[in-house]
Amino acid sequence: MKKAVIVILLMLLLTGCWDRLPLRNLNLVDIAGLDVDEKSGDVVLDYVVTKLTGTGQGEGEPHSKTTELRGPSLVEAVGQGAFIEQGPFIAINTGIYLMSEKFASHYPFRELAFLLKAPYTSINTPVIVLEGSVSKFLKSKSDTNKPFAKNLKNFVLLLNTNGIIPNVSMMQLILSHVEPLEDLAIPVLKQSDSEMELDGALLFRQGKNSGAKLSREQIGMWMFLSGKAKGWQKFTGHLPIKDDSGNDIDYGFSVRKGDSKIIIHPESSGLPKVNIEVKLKINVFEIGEEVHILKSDYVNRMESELSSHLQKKAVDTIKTLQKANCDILGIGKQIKAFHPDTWKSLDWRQDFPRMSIEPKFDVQILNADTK
Amino acid sequence: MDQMIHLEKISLNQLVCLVILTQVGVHVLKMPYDESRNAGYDSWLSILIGGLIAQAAIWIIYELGKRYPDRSLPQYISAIVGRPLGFILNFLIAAFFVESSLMVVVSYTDVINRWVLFRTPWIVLIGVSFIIIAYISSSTLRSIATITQTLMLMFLICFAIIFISGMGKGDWRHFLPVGTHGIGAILKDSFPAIWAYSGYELLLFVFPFLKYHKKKDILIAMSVANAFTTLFYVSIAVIVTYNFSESQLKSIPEPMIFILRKFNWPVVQSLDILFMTIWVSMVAVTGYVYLYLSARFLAFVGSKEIRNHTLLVWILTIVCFVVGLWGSDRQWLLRFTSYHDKATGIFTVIVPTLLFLTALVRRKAAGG
Repeated sequence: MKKAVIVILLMLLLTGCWDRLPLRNLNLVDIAGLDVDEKSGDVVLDYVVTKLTGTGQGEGEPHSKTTELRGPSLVEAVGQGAFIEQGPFIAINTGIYLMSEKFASHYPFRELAFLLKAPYTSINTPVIVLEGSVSKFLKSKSDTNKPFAKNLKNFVLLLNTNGIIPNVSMMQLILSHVEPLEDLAIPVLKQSDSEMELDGALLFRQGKNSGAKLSREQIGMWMFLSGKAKGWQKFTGHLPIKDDSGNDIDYGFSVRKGDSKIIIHPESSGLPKVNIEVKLKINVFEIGEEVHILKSDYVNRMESELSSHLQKKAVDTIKTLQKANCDILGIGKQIKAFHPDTWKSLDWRQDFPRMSIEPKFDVQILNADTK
Repeated sequence: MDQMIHLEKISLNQLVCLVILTQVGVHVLKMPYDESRNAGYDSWLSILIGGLIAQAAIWIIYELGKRYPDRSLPQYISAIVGRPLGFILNFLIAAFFVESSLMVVVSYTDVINRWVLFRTPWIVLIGVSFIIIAYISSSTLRSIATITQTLMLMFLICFAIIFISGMGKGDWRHFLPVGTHGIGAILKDSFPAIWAYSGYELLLFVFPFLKYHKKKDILIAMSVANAFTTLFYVSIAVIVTYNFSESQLKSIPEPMIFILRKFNWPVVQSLDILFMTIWVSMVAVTGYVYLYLSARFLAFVGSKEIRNHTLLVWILTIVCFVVGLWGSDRQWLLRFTSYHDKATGIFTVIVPTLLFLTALVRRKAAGG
């Protein structure tokens, strides 16, 4: 009896006294919007919080509410959260950081470093750039009842899992400014009609916006070159040659297996030469043949056509990267790791744009039908 | 008391658990920050070397204990260095152990206070920790060993959590080229690693209370424990280096916390907080083992053994609690840490070595 009383009394202690956070006071943030106000230059921080209403009937209706905070810097904007109606605004579990292009190009990311030290902040959350004004976009969306925040979150995660473009987390972005070899490409979304779509990727050099952008096609090339292309993504286009009856040859394929290898050839004088060997094993579902039986010699011809076609596009992409001085392919890392002596003789930021980088594609079509 | 402890011997299995869990503590969260100041991405080599140095110290302690297999260090110390010096050394070693216990509790409370419980007053955190630790260390060595054996399961869970969250996005090229920082830098950084390995010195006390067939088995058990800890530390260094490059590591003093926060799983939010909560039990082991040892050494400071172990433990706890109240000031804590590191080097490596050499010389003199 005595023991039971003690146990029951002890249970009162287990509830916690100082640090309990009642669920109703927490804000599970779907989107944290980061923007810069055009007129005042203030940082505008929008939290989109979705709550369920009317849960008495069925599963309830999701209702997104946007809370806007402003301040001369992001920390100060966050600080304003203490004074608002629901306040103190305890934001946890952020789904996406959505920043405007203006914010991405003007705001120094090392000032975001406080996020790393703040407990309960989500630092593994993907960062996305949105074309246009984020605060206007969120305002226009939050009045509608559609669960847009959830959809957007899903869309961003799917881009990553389907191998279309890798996500960049807030932690990666913040830490990239101290690491000269950690250049990033952050996905850019834009609004078309009422849907969101991937527009390209903004190139970041050591945590700073380089201003250059990869197009959707170039993102695909980047995925090939870094050996990450796989999954559900379908690559389509047309070859620069005509078939027997004078029609364009369209192609469509998905990658079963994609490998890439960066090979460095150090030169006794001058910059090292870089080759990137890409091996693609693909399944084609369209390659210009009208009858859907792929013969071996036709397949061989198309393999080499496709290789040289993709190679040309890859050269283009590499040029864009070199022009932006943004090494997202990890060539610097490769030289530093495997050719330390060559690395010592280089001035990376000076030399990367001038280096000779040649891609070499080897495409193999897996689904040939007959010999 | 003496007789009671003699009756309650602990198995070598329990010894292994005791040593491993006393070795691992708060430092895991910081690893390999201190070890990469000079050695950079070669820090895993420094940590490996630290493990080898610890192994050497274990061998010395074993050789020392082998000479007096039925007594523990506080009892035979006077036979080596003479009475007054023996008492002084006993007192100093007791002071070092109680300081270690205080250190580990205060540094972990600091971690908890910064990442999990922000609003809970410092005095409450410190108080609750010390009450738990004191309660356990006031019991017999056998009970302590049994509790520790049970907590081993928690440790394995933590090991799994670290591995799960450490994999994923990373780059093996962060390790290359191996060894470019030079052997000097790597050796220099193996010193902070030695401090992380401390815990094996409990053999100084527990030697006569072990169940064994051959004396050699003790050395084997100790080596197994140390090898396991080395493996654990090196894998942490490898995981951290896989995730962060050298220049990134410079700006994150607690890399393990960031790696734990990286993990994204819809079922469990904030794996870091879950980990830190489970890890409390690992830190508690280090705390209560040291507190126990301190009380046992203190019991032999006078010419007559003080038999009331529980009383000694609680007196030491009150002292720790009062001093620990200053720990909320991080500046103080950092100064304390640097002092503690030096003390650890002296008491876990230098003192046993000197004692061993003295015993060797004496034996020779007596024999010759």
